[in-house]
Amino acid sequence: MLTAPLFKLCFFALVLCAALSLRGEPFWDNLLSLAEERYGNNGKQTLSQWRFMLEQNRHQPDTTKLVQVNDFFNHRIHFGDDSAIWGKKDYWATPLETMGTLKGDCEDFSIAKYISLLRLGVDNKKLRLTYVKARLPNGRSQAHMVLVYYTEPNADPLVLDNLSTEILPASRRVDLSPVFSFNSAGLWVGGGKDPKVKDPGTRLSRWRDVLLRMQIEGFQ
Amino acid sequence: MSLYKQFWLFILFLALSAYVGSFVFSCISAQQYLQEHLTQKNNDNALTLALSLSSGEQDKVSMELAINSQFDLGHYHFISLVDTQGNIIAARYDDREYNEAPQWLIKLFPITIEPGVASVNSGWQQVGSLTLSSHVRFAYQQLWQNVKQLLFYFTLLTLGFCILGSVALRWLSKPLQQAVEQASAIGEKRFVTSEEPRTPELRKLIRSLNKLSTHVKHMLDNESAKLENLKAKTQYDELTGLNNRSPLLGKLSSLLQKKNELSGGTLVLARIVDLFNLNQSIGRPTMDTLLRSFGEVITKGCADHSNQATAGRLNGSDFLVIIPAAEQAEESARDLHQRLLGTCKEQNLNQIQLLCSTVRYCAADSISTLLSKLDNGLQQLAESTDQTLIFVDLKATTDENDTYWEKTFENAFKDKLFQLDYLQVFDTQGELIHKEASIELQQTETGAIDAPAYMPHISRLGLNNKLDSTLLEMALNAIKNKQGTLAIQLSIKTISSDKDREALVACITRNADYCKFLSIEIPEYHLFKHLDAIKAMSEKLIPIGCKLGIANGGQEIMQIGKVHKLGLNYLKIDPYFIADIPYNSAHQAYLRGFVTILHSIGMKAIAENVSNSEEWDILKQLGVDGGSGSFFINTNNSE
Repeated sequence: MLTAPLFKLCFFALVLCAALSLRGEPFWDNLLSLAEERYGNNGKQTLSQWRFMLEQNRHQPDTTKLVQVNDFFNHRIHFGDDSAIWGKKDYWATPLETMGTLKGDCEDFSIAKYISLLRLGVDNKKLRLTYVKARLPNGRSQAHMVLVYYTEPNADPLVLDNLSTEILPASRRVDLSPVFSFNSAGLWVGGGKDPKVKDPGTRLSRWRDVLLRMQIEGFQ
Repeated sequence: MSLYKQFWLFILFLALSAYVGSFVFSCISAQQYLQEHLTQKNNDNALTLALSLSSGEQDKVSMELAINSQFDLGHYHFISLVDTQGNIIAARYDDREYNEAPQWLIKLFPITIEPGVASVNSGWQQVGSLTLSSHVRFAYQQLWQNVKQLLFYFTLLTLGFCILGSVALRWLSKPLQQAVEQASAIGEKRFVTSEEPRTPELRKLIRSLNKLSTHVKHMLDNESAKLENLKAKTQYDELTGLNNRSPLLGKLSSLLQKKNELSGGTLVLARIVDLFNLNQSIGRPTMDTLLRSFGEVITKGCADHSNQATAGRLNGSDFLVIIPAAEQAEESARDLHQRLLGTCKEQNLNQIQLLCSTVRYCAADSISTLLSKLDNGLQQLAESTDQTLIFVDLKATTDENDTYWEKTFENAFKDKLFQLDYLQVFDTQGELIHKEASIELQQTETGAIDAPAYMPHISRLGLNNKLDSTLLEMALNAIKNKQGTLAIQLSIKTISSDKDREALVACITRNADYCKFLSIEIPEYHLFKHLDAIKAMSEKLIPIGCKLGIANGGQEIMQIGKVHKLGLNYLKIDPYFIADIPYNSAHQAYLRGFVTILHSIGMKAIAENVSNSEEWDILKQLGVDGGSGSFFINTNNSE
């Protein structure tokens, strides 16, 4: 007789938790409604899957996170030229745009993976977007961008690529020669305190521009 | 504070606030612009330098050298390269003091810029992170330059505004000045009118002032017209329109006392012989028509000969014409006689016998002597068979001739044989208003000759200006010697000549300190002919404290409206009105009205030649403000 009220209490607590979790966070609510509004049901679905993937791997070690994120995008997003997708010669898309259209080029892959890993709690210092010169199997060279992960500053980094879908240490990627690397350290603009960066009249670099657009979409 | 000062302060305040406003605004915008661009530049510089370090040789010395070279040649505040462990590979920092801009400006508009950060790689390996920042001193220099330029242009602009403002102010304040002048003129009881300006607010003001002035003028005209009527009824003969006996003789008596050229002149007496019988034989209506024509002819004849000439009907058949200061006495008399004879002929009344006699009068004569001389002349004519029917006796009562007077004056001016003679003028409280100063001519043989006696000769010889200057000079000297307030009478010849008047005014202006003790009198009979000259004089003298008055006034009441613009101080009423004032109710009524008019335009009324307490009492009742004459001399002597 004593277990029945305890059970009831536990049940209510569970329902309350579920209700709370269902109410969700404003970040996801905004992002999902934005995806639906812009890209319809498919877009919303991809975003929901992304959310699921991120929530699943929140507490996994970094290596698992890398594999999951790398695969998530490499499997879903089809490679395409900026001019074909956006009608512009060189366009850096936000993760929302990449997932909404399910198309992207090397920068879009790298940015989406970078943002995903940041959301998974990977240290920004360990991540670098890197311009590389890629030698293709046919012998031609191509300008390319990959995301690299340093376990330690001086370590041999891991390369997340969309051409070759397996994550390999940089030392084994002889087809790639790095040119320059960067990340968003010091560039995120905090809480909209600085209005002139949001002013559309201000000329921004591509990198800053995409950071700003992400910020407007709700990423941080 | 005056309107001008306020306006200037306003302009300066506007310019200053515009300057401060644009100073702050331009500084803030420059500050923002510089901050934004320097931050962007920092980023670009960091990226470029990091890229070049990533692709170059990466031993410590090479990188240090590369950074040093950039720091030494560029405009950096600092450059630092820190390896992944946080050890400094190379760092340069510019800690020199800078004074490109004053400290207050730096404190007021601090330029804070974000340093640029970029990472340096060697292949896949991280080498370190590069942080750098450009120096802000150059930005401050630019900012300070801007401030100085702004100040320069604003000073120019303000100067421009000031010049423009002063021109505009002069233009705008013209009507205001005009209003102020008119208002002060009205304050001085000069009821002037002026042109309406274009500024609507001031136009209203000036219009109101003009209305006030016009109103005063109308009132004066009305009042004086009423008085003129009153005077006419008592003074003039109904039939001929000429003076009655007593007014005419009164005028003659006042002429004989005048201290100017009018104290000498010509009298013409015309008589219709046996008027009584003529009335019966020809008929009264016809004779009345003739007499009326005589009145017109004589009035016209008077006007033709002298503006001061006056005429009257002594009794039914006798007409007396007074021509003061007549130059051509005999011709005037003959002309008048001819005109009257002509009138008789025109009306076919040739049977009428018209006799005429003429004598010269001067200050020393008495009325009865003169009248009996004229009468004797007519008697002689009636007894003689002289067909001209005119008796001329122009022999002067004294034997002196022109050369005598010329010589006398010459000596007098040369040896300064003049002396001031004072006549005190008192107010109703018995206080001295001023002393009338006139010139006495000192003669060794005959003693002093007073003004009425010699003035006609001065006028005839054209010495007025010389005498007036002497009088003015002596009066000013007397004032300097503490004689108190003096009044002097100047001749119209001096005042109406622009040159002589200017000289007089200049002389008075030179002694501006004594002006408040000086009154200048102008005889009424000349006033209205020379209003412009008197106006010119009053405008210069009244503001410096000199008083202007009318002497021997009261005759030309109709004209009194014209002087309300002049700001005159007093009018001395001619002895003619004073002589029999206790018994002459017409004169009493007239004077009462006249004094009221004078008061309404801010003038005092002063009676001349008050001879006894009876007169003085009645004059005080009539509102007179002061008086002079034998009554006061006796009273003062007895006290």
